[in-house]
Amino acid sequence: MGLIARAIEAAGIPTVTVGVLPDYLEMVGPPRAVWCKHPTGATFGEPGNAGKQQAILKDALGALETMSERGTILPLGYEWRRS
Amino acid sequence: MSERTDKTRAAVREKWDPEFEWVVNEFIPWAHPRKPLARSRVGLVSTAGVYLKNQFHQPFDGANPYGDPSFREFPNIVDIQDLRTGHTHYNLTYAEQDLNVVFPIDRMREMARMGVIGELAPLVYSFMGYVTRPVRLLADYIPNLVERLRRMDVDAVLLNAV
Repeated sequence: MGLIARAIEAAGIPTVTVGVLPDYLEMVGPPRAVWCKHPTGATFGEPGNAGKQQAILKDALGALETMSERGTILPLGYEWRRS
Repeated sequence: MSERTDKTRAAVREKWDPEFEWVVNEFIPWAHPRKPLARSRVGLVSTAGVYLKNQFHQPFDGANPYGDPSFREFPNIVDIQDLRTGHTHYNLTYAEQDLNVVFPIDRMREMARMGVIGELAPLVYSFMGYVTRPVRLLADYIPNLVERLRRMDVDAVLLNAV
């Protein structure tokens, strides 16, 4: 995924990547990344929780306008709500 | 690199590709936004392994130990009921209940309706994400994707790293 984000960015198009594993994000180095404490396979949170999915997307998209340093990896603070 | 990325490398080498190595990137590119988000055409790219059901798309080659570097393209009006994911390298439990948790197509359309973004790009994309030999990904599929995004004149792209 880092490879895809970097190639798009290198073509002049800003990107933001949403993930769940900050160490992986750090390794692959997308230009802008945000992450949540969610399990792999549920990046945007609990199935059916449209409100949270929207909130994460708003935060992620907002990072396109607010992040100013390449390689920034921002924790969004959302936690998994199910066992 | 972390203990977890080391463990993943060891597991991939044992089960799938004995020569697997992470691609480590040094330089990080940077592009400045050209427009306010609320007037931007935004693309969507996921690595969730999503494809169209009912033989409209060939499924991803999940059994290939080296992964599948190809991508699938969808109109942004696609009905989530017509999609499925065939990824073989992450837990599909949540995606099978609500594909928006890995491919937030309904939510991105809502972002456009709510005015958070100007519009969703006419075509959206999914890769499978698991690729242990990235030569074709880098030489063929990624340049192809970038050209499509440029032709659609997208102003920004949101990606999901599964």
